[in-house]
Amino acid sequence: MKTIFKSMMIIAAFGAASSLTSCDTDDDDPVTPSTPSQTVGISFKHMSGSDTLVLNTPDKPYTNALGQIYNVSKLRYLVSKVTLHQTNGEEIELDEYFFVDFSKPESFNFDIAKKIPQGAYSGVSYTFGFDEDDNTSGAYSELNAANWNWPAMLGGGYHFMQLEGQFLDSTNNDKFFATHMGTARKMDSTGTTYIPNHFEVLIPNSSFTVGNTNFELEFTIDINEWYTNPVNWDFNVYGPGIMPIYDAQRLLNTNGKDVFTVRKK
Amino acid sequence: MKHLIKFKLVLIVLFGVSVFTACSSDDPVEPVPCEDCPTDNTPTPYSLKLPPLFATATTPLNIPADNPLTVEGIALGKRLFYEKKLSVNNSISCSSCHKPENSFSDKGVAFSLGAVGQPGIINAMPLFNLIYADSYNWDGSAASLEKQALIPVAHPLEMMESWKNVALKLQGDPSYVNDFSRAFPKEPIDSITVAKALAQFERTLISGNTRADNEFGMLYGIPPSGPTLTLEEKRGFEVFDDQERGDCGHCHGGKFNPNWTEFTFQNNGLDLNPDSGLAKVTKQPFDVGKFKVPSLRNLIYTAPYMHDGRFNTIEEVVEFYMSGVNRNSPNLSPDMVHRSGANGHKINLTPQEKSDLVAFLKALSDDEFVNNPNFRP
Repeated sequence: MKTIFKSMMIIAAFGAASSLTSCDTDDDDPVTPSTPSQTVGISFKHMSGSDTLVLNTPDKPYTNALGQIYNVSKLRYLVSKVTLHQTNGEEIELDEYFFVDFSKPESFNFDIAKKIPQGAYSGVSYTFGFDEDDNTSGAYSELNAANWNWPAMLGGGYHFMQLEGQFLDSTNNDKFFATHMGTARKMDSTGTTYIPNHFEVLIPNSSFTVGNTNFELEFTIDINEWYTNPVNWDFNVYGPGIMPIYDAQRLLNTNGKDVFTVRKK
Repeated sequence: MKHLIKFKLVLIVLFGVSVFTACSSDDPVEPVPCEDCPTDNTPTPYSLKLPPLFATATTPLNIPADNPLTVEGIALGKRLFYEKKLSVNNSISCSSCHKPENSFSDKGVAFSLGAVGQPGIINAMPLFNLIYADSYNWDGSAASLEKQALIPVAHPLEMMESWKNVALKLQGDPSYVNDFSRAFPKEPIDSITVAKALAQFERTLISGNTRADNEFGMLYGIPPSGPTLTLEEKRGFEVFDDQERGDCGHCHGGKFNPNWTEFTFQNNGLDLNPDSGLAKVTKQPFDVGKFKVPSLRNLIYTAPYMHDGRFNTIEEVVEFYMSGVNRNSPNLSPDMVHRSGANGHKINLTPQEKSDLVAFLKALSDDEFVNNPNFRP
């Protein structure tokens, strides 16, 4: 709903702008000096450790920190509030959200409408998933159509990630894992509470300078980092069906802070 | 957001083009002559009215730029949908296997019979809300409704007719010459225009009036247009949505996705050695056994179920997901596997939960849709 509303605003703005162009004869607009600015594109790259991620391999080419080998059949995730921090304290939030489906390469690249002023930037921050303000059940039509909703009984809103595949279990059998992340439901003697499970990260070593050329920010996700640093994740314990498992949900939050690096291209 | 914006831009462009076409008076191409043609031979743009929940919760409509909906195109498509001349010996029409009273599926039949009574090899899919899909057929073999419409006419297990004969039959009927010239001025009567007309009609087959639509529409502030879910059906939705019970939502969505599918392909574990499915199209071994996840709308009209029609009742389908999933089927969806433990990866629904779930699934059925006179000849 929000998206629909926002895009309607954009259409309306378009209309206003074009009618202004054709009809406006007023030359008295004050000229405000502005910093020259550039366009930026966002791209996402996918790794498991030092290996480039490939979907649906017949073998299990990846290894987690516990030495468990695995492959990947699905990876989708949601990143929001990607923000560029200028050294002068200004912040530029790029877009509402980025929804990446590793089976659809067209979802790896985003053109950003906002222009980025030239100058020095101290770093890039992002929110993995949606924060409480944005994680509104049913509010994003594109995500609804992707079955990306998180069940109301688990706190509602949306999934933040779906990472699925097979691993070789402790008895040398192929088993499924389905690392789905979203709001964490906590049930104890005091009742049921829903713990927001997004996290916000200022990516270390992400400072850069915008000169007089357009540029790209390439985000690289290392999926192995979900499964270690600081806690090693055991697929035998947390395989499929972990959405209602509070400890698993919070462990993803704990481990996920270092999954992304970013570099300017 | 991007999709929506693009869609609106397309609309704006389309609008611009149609205005331009309408205004130009020096077009050198002569229209196809016909009896009783209207003097203004420009097809009338058709504005599709969507149920309010669909207008709010779902993504843009898939309407190709070269086949916009028009009043004349839709009317022609409907006529062709019920037209037996599309088959050899003029024996069957699209509607023979896609019956409106069965949500455009074949009543109670696993495999429909072709033009000379020969059985097919795959279940005739129901037809509704296709305007939201991005591929068609159980194996995704058609990338658009226009491409899909080309398949059954010439198929040896279906209508068995050549497109050349279809074109000749229609060209020999003055009333069709008239209808085609109204819908597609300056285009010949051939497989392309027949498919375009059929696709236009199929895009108008919108099902959006169920008790579940009324119930979940209220979440967006949409006043219900009729009855909402009963207590039993609401309990059934909880089973549906719960990862520790039904876990139906990963493939079929939920209360915010009125399509009740993402239109993806999954292997739900029907067989140890499954049919090729999507792999027939992609040639990828990891797609063997994957079939289009169907919508859950209108189930009470569309039995039997699955791509081969192997289950006759909704209860049988639920029982299959509880106890019958073949866990060693290649490329099985991980969503078929539950957390290990006392349940041993099985969903152990109580009889009450099972009947609640079935009741909910039945509440996704749209009586208005299967009785809509606009979809009948």
